[in-house]
Amino acid sequence: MCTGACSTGRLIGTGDGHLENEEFIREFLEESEENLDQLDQDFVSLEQNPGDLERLDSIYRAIHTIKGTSGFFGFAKLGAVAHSAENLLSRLRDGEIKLNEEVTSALLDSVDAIRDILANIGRDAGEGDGDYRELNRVLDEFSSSALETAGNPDRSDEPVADGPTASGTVPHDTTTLPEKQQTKTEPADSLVAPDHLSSVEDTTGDEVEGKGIIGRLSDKDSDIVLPESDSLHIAGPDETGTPDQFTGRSAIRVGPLSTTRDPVPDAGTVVAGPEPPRPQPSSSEGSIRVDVGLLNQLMDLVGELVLARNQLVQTESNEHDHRLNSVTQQVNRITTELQERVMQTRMQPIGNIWGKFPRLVRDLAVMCGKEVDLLLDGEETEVDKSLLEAIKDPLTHLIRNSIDHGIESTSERLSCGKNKRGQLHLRAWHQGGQVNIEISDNGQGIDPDRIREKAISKGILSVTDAATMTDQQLIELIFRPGFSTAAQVTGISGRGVGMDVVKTNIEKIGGSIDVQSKIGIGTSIRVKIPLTLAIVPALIISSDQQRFAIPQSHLVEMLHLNQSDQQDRIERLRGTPVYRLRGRLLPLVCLSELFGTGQSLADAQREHINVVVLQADACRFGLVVDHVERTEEIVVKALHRSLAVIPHLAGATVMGDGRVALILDVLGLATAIGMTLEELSQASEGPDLKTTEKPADHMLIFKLLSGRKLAIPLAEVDRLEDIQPSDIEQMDRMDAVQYRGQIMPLLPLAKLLDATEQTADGDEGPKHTASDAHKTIVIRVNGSHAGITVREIVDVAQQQGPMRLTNEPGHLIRGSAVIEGKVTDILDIDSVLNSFGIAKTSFTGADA
Amino acid sequence: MTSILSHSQRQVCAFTLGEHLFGIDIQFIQEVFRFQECTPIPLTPSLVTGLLNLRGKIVMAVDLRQRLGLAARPVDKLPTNIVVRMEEGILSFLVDELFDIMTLGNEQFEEVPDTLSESERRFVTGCYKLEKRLLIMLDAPQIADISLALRDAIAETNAHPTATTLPVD
Repeated sequence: MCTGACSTGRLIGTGDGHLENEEFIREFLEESEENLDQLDQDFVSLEQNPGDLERLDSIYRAIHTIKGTSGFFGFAKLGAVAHSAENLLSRLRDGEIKLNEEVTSALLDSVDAIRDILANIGRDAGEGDGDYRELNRVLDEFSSSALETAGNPDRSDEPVADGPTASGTVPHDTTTLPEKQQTKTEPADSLVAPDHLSSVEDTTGDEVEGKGIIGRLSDKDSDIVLPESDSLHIAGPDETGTPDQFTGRSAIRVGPLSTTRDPVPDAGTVVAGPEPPRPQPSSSEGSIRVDVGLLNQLMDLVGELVLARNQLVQTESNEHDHRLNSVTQQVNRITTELQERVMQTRMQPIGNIWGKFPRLVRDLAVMCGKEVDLLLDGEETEVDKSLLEAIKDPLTHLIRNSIDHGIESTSERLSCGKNKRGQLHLRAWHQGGQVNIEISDNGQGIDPDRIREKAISKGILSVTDAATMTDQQLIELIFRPGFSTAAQVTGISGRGVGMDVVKTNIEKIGGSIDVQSKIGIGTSIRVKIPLTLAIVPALIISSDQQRFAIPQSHLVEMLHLNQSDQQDRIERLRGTPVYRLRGRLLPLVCLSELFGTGQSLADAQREHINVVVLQADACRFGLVVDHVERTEEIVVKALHRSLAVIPHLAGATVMGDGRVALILDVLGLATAIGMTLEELSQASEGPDLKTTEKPADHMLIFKLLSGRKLAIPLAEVDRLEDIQPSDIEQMDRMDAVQYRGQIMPLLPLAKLLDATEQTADGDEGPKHTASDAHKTIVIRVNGSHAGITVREIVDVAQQQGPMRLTNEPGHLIRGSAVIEGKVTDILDIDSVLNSFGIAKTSFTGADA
Repeated sequence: MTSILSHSQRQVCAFTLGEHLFGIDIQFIQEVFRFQECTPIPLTPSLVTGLLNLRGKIVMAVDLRQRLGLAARPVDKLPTNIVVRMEEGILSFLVDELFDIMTLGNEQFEEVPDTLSESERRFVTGCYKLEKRLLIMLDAPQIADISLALRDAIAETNAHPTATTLPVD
């Protein structure tokens, strides 16, 4: 943007010209809004890491663009604020003043001012009547204070300053490297290539010796290989080529920039190598702005298309036309792909809403006089845009709560021996078709006793009820309407109009929220939301001649129980039928009974029953249905609002034949039968499981050739293979086969175990005959494989309760655990490999 | 409709339920179509007939006979769907037959007759005296608001005993 415009005051933004500019102004507003969000974030991280010149530069560019554009459109106030802020930033960038809390606050104020003015412009095309002169004065004051400290640069103690291109001492000599301004760094790993290095020497004339760098690089390889390239990134050609009152600023910083952040002092010199310029990905080239409404329409249309496709596929299966068949296949494939792509257009990284949080956390922390570090993990996790919008406010509220109530004041933290800086950790990740978002702090935690008192005093709980409630149940009272635990209501939170609203809003979009807290340790709140609401894969089942769809994200497995299974493994626990599934009791619920349309499980003497095992939050249950039909992509349609009183239903969908099918709400089903489930899970699990934090491991149970039954953790198993005896060849001490282009030794485990201990329970059946395929468990050993030949794979089951470890180190059996109701020995893979001379680490060396 | 209505006139969608003639102001009517098979919704009272697929949109159908407390429709008589557009969403009222779309003048209108019981009055705004018959005007929003009826039905199904919370730990 031409800065000349602002000084000459070519005001196009007035009179008739205004209309023509409307489009530009709208674009400018949209663009600026994004920039401002980024600025908030940048400032906060800059405050924490004042040496981050790259970030400072990006802030500077953003403000500069706003200033330039405001001049172009004749927004005087906006221009003035941006100008003052820009001035101050340029002083900061030149190291003439140091960033501290006041300066950051002033700059953040200017961001707010800019945001206000832009909002005004968006509303009525005017700048509003805010008075920003005081702010400008403060900003200017900071800028002018720079002059006094200019001779005494703050960063002189940093290694950068000693370098030939140190910016602190040579503020404006950036034009000396005009060509290199436009170069971008090569990926970090290419830096070690000697030929690049020599060329670096040539062009920079720097005295760094190539080999020296290589040595250093390999010493500190972890530092280098990290994609530091983004810290080395310099202003794009568009910036540097523009005549500018701060000419050449960004380019010249190349050296110092990288060195400030890079632990290797000379790394900066590498940057200026003669590699061809890699164009900075420009947002204007690769993307366009699209109205969200349009995307929504597109999504609706794709939904209709998916329906039509389903109908077509169903019709086609009744015809036997070859050409129709292939066209249908094609339409099917294209529809699926189109659907995926359109869904993608609506997916946005959760970082888009987290962007505001660093600023929020900083402001709140300053306001409460606390010190808080915000950690963000999984910002790239993608969520449908509509859901993203829906969780923004709830998350903001949760963060406020954490800082206001959770994290203690600095003095409190110190007195209880904690680090004085509190920590707020936001994590997001995908899991089973859902997005998990966790907000945890290491603050004081929620005190169940205080909640109990409060609940009683507010009349939410009776004294007798309160006495019987567990700590967890008490903690969950924070989600009750009208509940607030803050001893003192603050301006930020504590009015008790929060957590219940947060919960309702999350649940409204099909999500769930739950809280874990330990006094003195901290609180962690986990929010689970679906990825998208529009189109989901679902299992179609039927019950009493009616079809229902079950979202696959809740589906664990399906069981088909014949009569003997039903007799042997279905029991009754407090009146509820339960099925013994791999040692765990699975409560069974009959869908037709639940809906009052058919028989209960007990009445129905059926030959087979189909059980769909579903997972809702923490509880797992089996839904008994008549038939399992197929899986299908369904388009979720909302039900009439008055049907919200039926928690069992999540929506409806149109099936391939045009009929409507209801979508079951698994969480709702669980809630509807929830009390029973909770009771059952307690009865079935017992206290032991509760204490083990880790979920029970899945174990692969197998029988050795000797007939002995053993188990290994399923996680250790790569594959199960049938190996033909004819493929087996001889290796040094054992058999081996060629497996995926490598040699896979077959460990004679039975021999080894029988030799060391005489516990094999004899001959239970025939051993392998020469012609049988050998069932082999393939274990991955650092990129290669090893096989264990077994007689029989028995089952995969969960380990119940903790493992009882054997004490002898090097013993081939790691310990024993209860699996499928039987004590089973668990093989120690590492020891087994060791005893065959295969260490997990050295093994790959052979084929490398 | 090309005719211009005066302030003293309004258009009414008239339909029959048994012997009776009822009307709904045409502003609420989206469309009328013949019988279509419904997907029943479990746990709902029988006045909720089920869900219809209306060109890809899902519409809940409510049986007006049951809603108004009239005798059930004979099994061999297929109902007609009158789709109404309400604030809470689209609904379909199942009626016996569409009678006519009529333009009626205010001079024919009368307040709710005293002969109706309190529960009948709830859904009626008044009636038009036609030449030979009486047309009872229904309060469409009132009829469409079935959330209360649903809530009662659900409360009833939930009433059968379930286990209560047990103390954990």
